[in-house]
Amino acid sequence: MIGIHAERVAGDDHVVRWVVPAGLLTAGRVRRAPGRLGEMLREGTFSDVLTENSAVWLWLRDGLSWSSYGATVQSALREALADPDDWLVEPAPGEVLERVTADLLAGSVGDFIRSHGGSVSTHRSGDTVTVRLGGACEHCPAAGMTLRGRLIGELRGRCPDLVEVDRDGRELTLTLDQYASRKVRDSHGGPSRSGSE
Amino acid sequence: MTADHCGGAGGVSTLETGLTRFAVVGSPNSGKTTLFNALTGLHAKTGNYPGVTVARYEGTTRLGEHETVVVEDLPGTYSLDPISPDEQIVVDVLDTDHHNERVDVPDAMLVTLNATTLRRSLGLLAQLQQTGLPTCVVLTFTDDLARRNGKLDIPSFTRALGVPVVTVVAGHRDGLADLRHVMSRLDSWTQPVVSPPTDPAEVTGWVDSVLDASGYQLPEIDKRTHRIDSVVLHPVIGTVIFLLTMFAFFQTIFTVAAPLQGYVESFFGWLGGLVADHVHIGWLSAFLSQAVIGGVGSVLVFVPQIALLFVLIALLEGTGYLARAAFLMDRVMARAGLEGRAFVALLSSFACAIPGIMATRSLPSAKDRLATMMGAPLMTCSARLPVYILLVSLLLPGDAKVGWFNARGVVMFALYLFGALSAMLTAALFKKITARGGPMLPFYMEMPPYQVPRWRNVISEVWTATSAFLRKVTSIILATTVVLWVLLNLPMRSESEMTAAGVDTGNAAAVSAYVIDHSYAASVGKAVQPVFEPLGFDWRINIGILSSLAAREVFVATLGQVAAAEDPEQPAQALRQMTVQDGPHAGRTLFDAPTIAALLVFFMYALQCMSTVAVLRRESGSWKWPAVAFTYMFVLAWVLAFVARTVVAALV
Amino acid sequence: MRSRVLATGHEPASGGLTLADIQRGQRARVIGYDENVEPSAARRLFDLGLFPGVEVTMVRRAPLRDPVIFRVGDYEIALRGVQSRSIHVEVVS
Repeated sequence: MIGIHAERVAGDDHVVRWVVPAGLLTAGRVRRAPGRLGEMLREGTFSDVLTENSAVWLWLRDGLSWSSYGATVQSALREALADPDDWLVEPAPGEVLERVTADLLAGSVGDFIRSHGGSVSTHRSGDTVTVRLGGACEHCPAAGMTLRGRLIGELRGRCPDLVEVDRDGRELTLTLDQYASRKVRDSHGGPSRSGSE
Repeated sequence: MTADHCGGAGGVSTLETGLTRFAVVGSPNSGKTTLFNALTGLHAKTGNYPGVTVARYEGTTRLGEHETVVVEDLPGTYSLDPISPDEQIVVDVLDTDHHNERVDVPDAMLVTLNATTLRRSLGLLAQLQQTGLPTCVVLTFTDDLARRNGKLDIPSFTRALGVPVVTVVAGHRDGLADLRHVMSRLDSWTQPVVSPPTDPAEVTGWVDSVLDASGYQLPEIDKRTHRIDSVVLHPVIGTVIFLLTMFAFFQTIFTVAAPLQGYVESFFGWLGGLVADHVHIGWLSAFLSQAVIGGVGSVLVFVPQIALLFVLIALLEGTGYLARAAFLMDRVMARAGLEGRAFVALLSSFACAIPGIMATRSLPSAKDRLATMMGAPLMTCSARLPVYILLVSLLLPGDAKVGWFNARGVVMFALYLFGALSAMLTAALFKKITARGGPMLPFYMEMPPYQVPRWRNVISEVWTATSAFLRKVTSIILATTVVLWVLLNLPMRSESEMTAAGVDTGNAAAVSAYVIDHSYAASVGKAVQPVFEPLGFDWRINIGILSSLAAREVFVATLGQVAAAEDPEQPAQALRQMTVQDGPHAGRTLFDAPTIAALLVFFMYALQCMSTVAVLRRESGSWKWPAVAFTYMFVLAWVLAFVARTVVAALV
Repeated sequence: MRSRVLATGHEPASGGLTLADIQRGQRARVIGYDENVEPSAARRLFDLGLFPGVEVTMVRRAPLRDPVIFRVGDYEIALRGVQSRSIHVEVVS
């Protein structure tokens, strides 16, 4: 039984983060989906669809509202998740990571940092995302621990295929590992993608 | 019900006073009533929803300095697919589509969710959010959840639901303060960006997803409850405990209440004395002492017992034992076509049918409710006691024995037993008659964990119930006693008239006897004589029966007055000497065995309580059922009294 | 009246095991409702948490054999034989 629920995204009314069972989909941009959801995708109902390990981010096209489309999307998404293999997800590690990081920083991790007088900024460049601590955290010896401990811990919880590319005190560069993500998916029973392995 | 309700506070309608309305909604056993009581204190108004027999609880609460809001406690419900009048009310009240004009739609909902039964409770929340009303979840029993090693991450839970969530633990003030704070910021309540699904298949998935995201860990079984239940619900020990509890219940109601009743009686005796000393206008003095003090006094004398009954029931319910009692009795009740909870209602009727009839509200099935209401007045209520005691003492000498047992005691026990059996049989019969057509309601009963009852709840329930009883009963009985007094004492007779008739005007008892003998009431008594003739009653007994329509215990006092007894409260001696005045049996002792038997049986079955009639009317929603009850009970009483008379006459 | 299969799309197992057959302490999983169940009763069972997929444990019987207390998920509920006979289950342990 597939269970999903919708969560509001702070500051943006067009997007809804749909929490779905973990491991069904790989992280990236959705190009194709089965059933009614796929139709809506083709029709341009959505301006963008990103997936992370346990959630699907759906942006409604300008002019459309979730109050009218919510119920339909809910059923369609649920139905489509019954066939995870019919989805075509293009890797987009930078964007997904950027989204998830921003989400976390808007929540408890960010609150923690800000409550210590610090600030945090993210910057995406291609497939990597760089996270930088500032403010009071700039010169704090525990800054590295904070980044590593809490942020990475929570990020990894959301994106099991998280990889550290580089670290430098208050700065952390991260990306998502494609191969790792494929392995994660395979371990959940889906057939491996044709092509390189 | 539309899902796209206009955003924001969406105020649909408010009271004339313009106050914001909050409705407290939730399933039974979710701490809803505790929350309501905590918010509104004892300032709740109770009434009925228009046209139905469902109690309505409304109160107000202060949210800080200047803001007062109305809080309404909606009946507990498991679903917005109603199967009972209670649940239908919840649907009607939350009807934002305005198909129903009878009740005000609230401005917002406070949904109580029991943290230990979240899997089921969230299903109700999903349905409630279809109304589109601003919602705030009040999470209760989180202390129980922790105690039983369950877990829930509140911030994730809040994010997953998309509505404000406030944790309130009964007995702790902080949760309430937080709740009031949230309630005062109604305009900023978030709504879920997408409403939960409606389809049953999708809802369970939604619930699972939300609980998963909130790190929900199922609480372990409540070990304390489990241990207690293995004793209390044990086939043998449990039954014994149950019987002991019932015994203790009765003992308390009768023995513990007795001294309290004594105090009330002395108080009214003192009050009567005051009137006699200070009011010198003859008729006014009589009016005050007999009609007003006598009437009100006869009601208030039962209040200690009634209040004690309410306290016991509230305690049993608060601990959770009542559900166990209903569980143990369900099979027996099922044979009568009823269910375990009807047992509780009938049990309450042992002191007075009124609390029993009110207790039928706990029965989900309207047909069960009606059947139980029709049977409840047959349970031997306390008001019958003075009548039984008087009649039995006329019938049997105090030292008569049946085997080893005191004969009077045996007869009293038999009266109680027959009352209970008749009540069950009648309820079963009514259920059979009304059960034609319509689907049978499935029986289910939640077994809540044992708790220490919350004192605030107990006090509040007892207060509400007792004050409702007092208000209703006092007004009705007072009215009836006054009317009867008037009928019994008019027309007034002048001294000359009485002396001419040979009455010693110095003897108060003789004077009052003469007045009564020639009063309007006497005319009525003589007029209905043909009806009661076959039972062996004469017009004086008829007056007593008519007066007992107000309240059964009034029979004793009225008969005392009619018999010109020196002390109307102890008329036994005078009554023993009464003889039939005219007709074919003139000269026969009026209170002979067959007549007493007939009277006893008559009182067992007849509906002689206007208060009960009034409560039946309110609880069943129309005059039809009280009329049916009155009629069938009168017929039953007459027929069985006749049978009793014939049988006893043959035996004696 | 068609089978009340609410969520899983599975037909009730041909084993014909119902909740009434479960012994004390046994755990079972609900797989569907009987064909003869009234829609209102089915809805109520669903709302009470007795839906396909949920695990139910038999806790104890009343002294006179009926009703029976079951543990459903996180709470306990008493049901009569009439109701428990209309719920199809498969044994878990």
